[in-house]
Amino acid sequence: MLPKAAWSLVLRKGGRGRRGMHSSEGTACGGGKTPRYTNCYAQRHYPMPEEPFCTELNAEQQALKEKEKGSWTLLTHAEKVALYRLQFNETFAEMNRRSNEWKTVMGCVFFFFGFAALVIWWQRVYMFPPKPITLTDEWKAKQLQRMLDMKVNPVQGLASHWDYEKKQWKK
Amino acid sequence: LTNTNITDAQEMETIWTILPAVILILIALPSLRILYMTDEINNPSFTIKSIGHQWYWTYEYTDYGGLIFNSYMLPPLFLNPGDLRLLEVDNRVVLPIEAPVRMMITSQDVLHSWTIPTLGLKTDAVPGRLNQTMFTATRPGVYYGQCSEICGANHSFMPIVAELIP
Repeated sequence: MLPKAAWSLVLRKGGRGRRGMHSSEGTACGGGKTPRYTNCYAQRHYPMPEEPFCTELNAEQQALKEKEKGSWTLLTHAEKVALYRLQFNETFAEMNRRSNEWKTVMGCVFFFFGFAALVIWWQRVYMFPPKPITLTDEWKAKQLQRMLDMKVNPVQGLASHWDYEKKQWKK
Repeated sequence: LTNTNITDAQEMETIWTILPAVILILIALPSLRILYMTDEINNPSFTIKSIGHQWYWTYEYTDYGGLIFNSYMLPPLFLNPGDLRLLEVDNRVVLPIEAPVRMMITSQDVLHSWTIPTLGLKTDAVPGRLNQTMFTATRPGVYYGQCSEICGANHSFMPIVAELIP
């Protein structure tokens, strides 16, 4: 599914990818004009740009603009929508729509988690030196016995938790 | 920041700078006096010099005759079963309990720090300077510490072991 979505961005009828195509074909304006920079489009933090979205109007649209100068109660719903589309790129609902980008992001994050895990496993097998002898259970037991014999930290530390009469840890 | 109610208050600003400074000075001076008063008078019966090198310690007992020896960490292969890795040394500093001991600590080359946490001791070994710390131990035993000032490649491998005997 992901490759198909990615390919559909690249390929399109007519052979050129959709991404990178900057014509305004398919919008209310019709084609033929290079688009402005994005800061001229309405955005959530800049909802009222100075210039309208479509500046080159065909005859029908110009007639509609003339009609707009009159009373607005005479405009049909479809005409009002057409006028909105001339003025603005997208409605608020369209502008603020959610996307599925988070799925891609999370997928990449988990992929790199897995890759890091593989790298760590490889290091553990092929790179780390052997553990010192002092980390074996036998040595640790002797070490602990020695520390208890020395009464290390008898006030609040290790030896204070050992009951020397019963030879066990204090409960 | 341009509201006229909060501009041009030079007199008040001067007062609320000078007055807290005076108050702090009035707090600090007795506090310093008390700080130095809490330093105990020890009258040490024993003085030992501890000299830090890269990467071992030298101890000098020069009160009664001249005993000087080096104290290197024991490598893991040389340990006896039950010894503590990276903490055991070949020659320990042997000290008496219940006697005030003065340690004079310095360094031959770079900064080190002579530390025994359970005895509450940490003193920097500064080349060209003699630092002094005094303590009186009450319990016999073996006490471990590690160099506490970064001093090069083997900074983690120059421990201090004090053996306190009755």
